Amino acid sequence: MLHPDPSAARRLLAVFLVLSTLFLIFVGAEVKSREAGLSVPDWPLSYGMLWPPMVGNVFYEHGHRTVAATVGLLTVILATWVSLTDPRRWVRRLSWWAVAAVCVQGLLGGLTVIFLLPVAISMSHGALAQTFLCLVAWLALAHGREWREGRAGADRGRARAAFRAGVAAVAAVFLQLLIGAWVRHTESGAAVSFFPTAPDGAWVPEFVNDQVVAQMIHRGFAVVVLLAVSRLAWRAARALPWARLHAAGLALLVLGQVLLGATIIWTLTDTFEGPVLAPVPTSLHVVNGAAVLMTCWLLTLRAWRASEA
Amino acid sequence: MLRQTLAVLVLTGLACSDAKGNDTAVDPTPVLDNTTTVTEPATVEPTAPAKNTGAAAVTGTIRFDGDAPERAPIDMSADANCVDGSPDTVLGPGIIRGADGGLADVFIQLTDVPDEKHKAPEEPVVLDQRGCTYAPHVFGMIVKQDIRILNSDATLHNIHAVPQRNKEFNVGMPEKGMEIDKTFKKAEDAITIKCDVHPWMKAYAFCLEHPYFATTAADGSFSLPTEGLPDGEYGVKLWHEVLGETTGSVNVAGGAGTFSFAWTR
Repeated sequence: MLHPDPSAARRLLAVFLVLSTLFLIFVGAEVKSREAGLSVPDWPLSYGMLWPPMVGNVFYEHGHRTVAATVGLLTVILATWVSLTDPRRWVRRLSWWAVAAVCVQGLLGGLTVIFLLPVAISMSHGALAQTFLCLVAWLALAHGREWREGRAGADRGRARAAFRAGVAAVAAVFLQLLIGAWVRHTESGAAVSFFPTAPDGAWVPEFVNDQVVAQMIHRGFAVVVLLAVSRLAWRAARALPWARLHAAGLALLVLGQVLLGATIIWTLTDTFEGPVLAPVPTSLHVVNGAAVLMTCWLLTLRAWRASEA
Repeated sequence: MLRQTLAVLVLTGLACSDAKGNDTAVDPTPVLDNTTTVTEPATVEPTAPAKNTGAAAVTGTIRFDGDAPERAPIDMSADANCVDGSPDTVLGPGIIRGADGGLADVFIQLTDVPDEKHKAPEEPVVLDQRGCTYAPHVFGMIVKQDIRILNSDATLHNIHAVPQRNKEFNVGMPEKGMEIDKTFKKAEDAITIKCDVHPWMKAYAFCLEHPYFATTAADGSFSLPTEGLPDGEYGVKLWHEVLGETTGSVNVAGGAGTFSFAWTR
């Protein structure tokens, strides 16, 4: 007789929450890409209403608020459910850390509106979004059989090496996301209008302002990220044969990220105010970056679990 | 008396230079319209120069000589109210040429004027949101003069000023017929005013310490008031959304003067 997995439904909710969070990050990225962040000038209400007319950029900003509220509600439901049914104390605590993160995230979102998008708050809002994604992804992983029961068969030495590579990769990707947020919120995305080389063959532009510096740091650090993530994928694939698909997916995501970054530059539109970024490739670059971070994080956790099993 | 009858208009502009700091397609060596000629030097009494007390003004025309890039129609489909409110096709920002190459929406101000206190007029400057565009597109005001912002559209707007020296503001105007008053307390050029709901909506406000400014009409002509301005030579600063900034000079006598200029590219 088959016994239903008692945590399967919770896991389903956690996975749904992860996907919803990725969608939320995409919608949030669209808000910035379309400069819609201040199209609703008040918070927490929108033009003094719960549901304003969804015209123009209000569609993006109020849509972002609505998806965010849904994700917040789902997080509270999951945390409550976990608290009532999961015997593991750390998982219960983790679920409430996720609730705290989503509340602070909502508050930061409100502050960006009230204080008219200060760079520090906007960057924090972006960084916390990625952190929240990692928290809920961990919750989803913790509800899987591999995590709950452990999986023997891994070479512990190799698993530990994969874990160490994972820590380095997660740190590198997170730092790159911060640099990306800096690029984005200082309007440096189009500061260098060529990739990889200028029409005259130059690889490096003249560093005429801080925006060019920010853009080139982001590009330069991408090489570090590529190496760190490739190392993790390689080591994880060797240490955890059952996670090879996960490792291969990570490699594809990071290559896709480089391609999306290049696409942003290749799709710049010239206007009299300067080059303008195309919204959708830019937003996809943001959400794919979040997916790279989450995938690194989950692979690192799996390596750690295997090394402890 | 002699001075008034011999009011001489001197057009110079020898000091014209491109002063904009960003990447616009401004010709680095703008060409002055030399069709206006100096007639005779003004006779100036050795005592303090007289001030204009009448209705005389600095007048002239700003032109654009060259091929203006075509302006793209604005896609307002994101808000059906904007489409309904603008039955005619609305073109995006760019070089708006009138008859004979006259250039609209150039802001002209005198510089190096006497450092006197000018009281802000009681009458506010009106900025209307109409057909999901701003009217006027480029305008000036005196420091601390009110801007009365109207919403004549059957849709919501936010009015978002992004100054560098003054205080930024962002206010919602969700209903037709709403109006609010706002004030800038410091002098500042080209303050961007925008609607984040409808990203094509932009206006530019100039907040000056003095009233010696004008914006060109659709045919490029302007009439810059000079009441209270002593005779003398003054700097002229021109600004255009696309073409950037350039400078020249004008002689004012009896409050009158002419200044014309042609941008080329």
